[in-house]
Amino acid sequence: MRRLNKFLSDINPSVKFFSVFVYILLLVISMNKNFIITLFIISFLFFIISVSNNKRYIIPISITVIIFSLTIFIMNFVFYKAGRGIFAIAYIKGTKAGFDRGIILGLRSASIILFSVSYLFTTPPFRFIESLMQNLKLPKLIGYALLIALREVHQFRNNFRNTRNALLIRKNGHQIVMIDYMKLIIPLFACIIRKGERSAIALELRGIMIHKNKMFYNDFSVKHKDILFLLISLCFLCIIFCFFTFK
Amino acid sequence: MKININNLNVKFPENRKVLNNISFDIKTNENILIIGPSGSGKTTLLNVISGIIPNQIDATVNGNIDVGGIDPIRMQSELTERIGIIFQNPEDMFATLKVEDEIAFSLENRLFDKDLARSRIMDKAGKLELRDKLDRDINSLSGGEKQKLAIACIEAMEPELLLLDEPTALLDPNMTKDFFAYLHKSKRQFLIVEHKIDNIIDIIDKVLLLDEKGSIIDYDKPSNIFNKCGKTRYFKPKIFNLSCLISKKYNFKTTIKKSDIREFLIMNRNILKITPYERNEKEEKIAVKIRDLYFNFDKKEFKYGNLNIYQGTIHSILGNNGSGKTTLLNLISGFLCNYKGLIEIFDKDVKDYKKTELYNILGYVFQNPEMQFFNYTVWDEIDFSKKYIEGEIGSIGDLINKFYLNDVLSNSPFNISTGEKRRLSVLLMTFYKQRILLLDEPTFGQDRETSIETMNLLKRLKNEGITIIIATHDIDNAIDNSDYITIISDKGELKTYDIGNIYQSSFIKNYSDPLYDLLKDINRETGCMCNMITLKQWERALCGD
Repeated sequence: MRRLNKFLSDINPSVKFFSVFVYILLLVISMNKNFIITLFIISFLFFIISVSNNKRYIIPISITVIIFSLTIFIMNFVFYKAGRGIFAIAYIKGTKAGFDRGIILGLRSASIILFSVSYLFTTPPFRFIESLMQNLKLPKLIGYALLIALREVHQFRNNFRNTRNALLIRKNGHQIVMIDYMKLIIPLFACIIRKGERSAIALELRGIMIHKNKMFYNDFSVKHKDILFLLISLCFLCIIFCFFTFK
Repeated sequence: MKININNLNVKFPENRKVLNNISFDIKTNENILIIGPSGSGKTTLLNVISGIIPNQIDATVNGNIDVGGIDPIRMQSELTERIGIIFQNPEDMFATLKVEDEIAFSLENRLFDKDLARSRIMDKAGKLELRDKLDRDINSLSGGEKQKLAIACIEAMEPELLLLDEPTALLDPNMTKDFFAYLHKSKRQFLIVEHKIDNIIDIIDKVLLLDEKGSIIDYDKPSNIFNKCGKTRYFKPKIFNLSCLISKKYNFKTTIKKSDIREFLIMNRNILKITPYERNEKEEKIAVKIRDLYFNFDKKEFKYGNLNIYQGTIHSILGNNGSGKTTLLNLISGFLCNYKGLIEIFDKDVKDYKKTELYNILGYVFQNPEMQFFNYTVWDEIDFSKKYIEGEIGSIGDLINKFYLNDVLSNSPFNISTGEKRRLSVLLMTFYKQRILLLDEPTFGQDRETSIETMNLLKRLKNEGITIIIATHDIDNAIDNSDYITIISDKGELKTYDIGNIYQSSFIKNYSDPLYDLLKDINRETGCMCNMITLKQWERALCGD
């Protein structure tokens, strides 16, 4: 399991992103129940492999996915009125078509979440951004702005906690109500604007604009194993898509 | 790198003139210290030399500037290859998330060969003791480590000139010492804006002294600058102030040379009188009682233990970066609740207080005062606090007078001076006549004049019976103004001292300060048992009360 996890983690983030994107795209356009069930099984396997290094997340994520998909299933099963009824309690009526629709939409959303989570667990977001800059020519100014924003999430959390405490104490301990949160925007924005200004200056001083091109210290070029991974995963997807759709 | 500046004038768009007819030359390999009061244009001058003004920050710049043969206004990109700049807060300059990537960033932009970049990174990381931290997240580094990383990033480019804007403002005394030791060792030319001038006096060649209007008062060798009296009052190094004290009473020529003072004091050992510390014998009631306090935060454990803070006293909390000073204040103020042990305020458990009850008696001034401003003008800030008053308060006008804020009532709280921001934040936190005031680094980033002003304000509040609890790195201010000092060890354990026995703590024993180091030398040579750190204490020892 660890080996598979390492293999997935080592795949080029852009290549991995592309294959996950294609899987999700086919999930969205297909209404074939068997195809979606098969992809759900695959996504679940990917999920188990991806979180094998962080097992404590398996149960909370699984519970969230189950609740989310179950809600979608029940809503469709109960409220979709077309077709033959299979059960009725008071004014609530379930139909066969509603049941199928619920299964398809529930599993589809579960698969999309599991694929996305698997991607996040095997690709640190900053590596993904770096890979986008190298492989998909994302402009470096946008790339580094995203990286700085990513790092600032941690700082923003601290600032938010501090300003919230400051407001509480300024209000002499009176409860902070929804409207008060608008007040937090002033100091938080002041911080963000100043930080943004200083970061932009620092990037320029460190030479981001000296040359049009850039050397990349971490190599994210597409290697043979990435192409192999892409081909195998896409071929496999095509085969099962064709098998279930055109049989 | 040679720098020539002629008739430099800088005006910001709101018509505020910051630098006024500045002219000076810097020779190759000359290290310059820039000093002056808050708002004198020290940072602006560094920004003009680096080309940040007017290329990134809008301002009208007139005059001739030549930095190593380059005009930074027109050819900033050429200049960025030759200079490195380090900000007050190192976090402002980081662009990536990992230590190694961060050092590599500047080299990537200069299209370095990958192998050369790797060897350069290893070399600089090794020199700054960062080699074992190369794969760490930047967010997981301590303040000192972040500053080291900032230096490594700049050093990797091997610039000809370093521009340093208060690089030690966030560092504790030991880290500050390490920083300057590295700077000295690197043998790189630098221009530095710094308030902690004692640490740097030995490694600079000239001092540029600015006044509050942004004009040059003087530009000369340190010994000449500090020998002149008048406006340099607040910017003399402690060692020079000590020599002035000695020369006032004895036949001694003022100097910045520690060795001369040392020799004189060893020869005349009898002039140092040990004045015993007078303990406050009046009965003191406990305002904050802490027992067996334990807290676990961000995977870090703080075994605080016990602490008593007495009513109507100034109680300072000292400790290294990351030792848990701010966390302790947050625990006392009820912001953090999931702790083990007991925290009592006026004999009642903090957890038993209603928030309205607690913040009626307790105020908190944050390290960054801007965090507690929520309105568009200073008056609106005061008006906002008025809404939540339950009891009677005195005249608002008197309160504003007391904090010297009359002239800025219609200004935005974000656009007033650092000292005014600090005074406003203290006013807002004493508005409800709170009986306990917690302050996190109240003198952070302030020049000595503003620091003294802030401490005087706190002493006035103390005399009105308010208990002041301060978390700080400023040991001199703590010793001069506190009744008690608690030292937090790196494991978070608390130990409280009064000013008389503070010298027994290992934290103070290991404290490196020019005056204290001098005293240790003299004690060792003469067998004296004197204990003085601050200038005030030296004054008392030399001149009596």
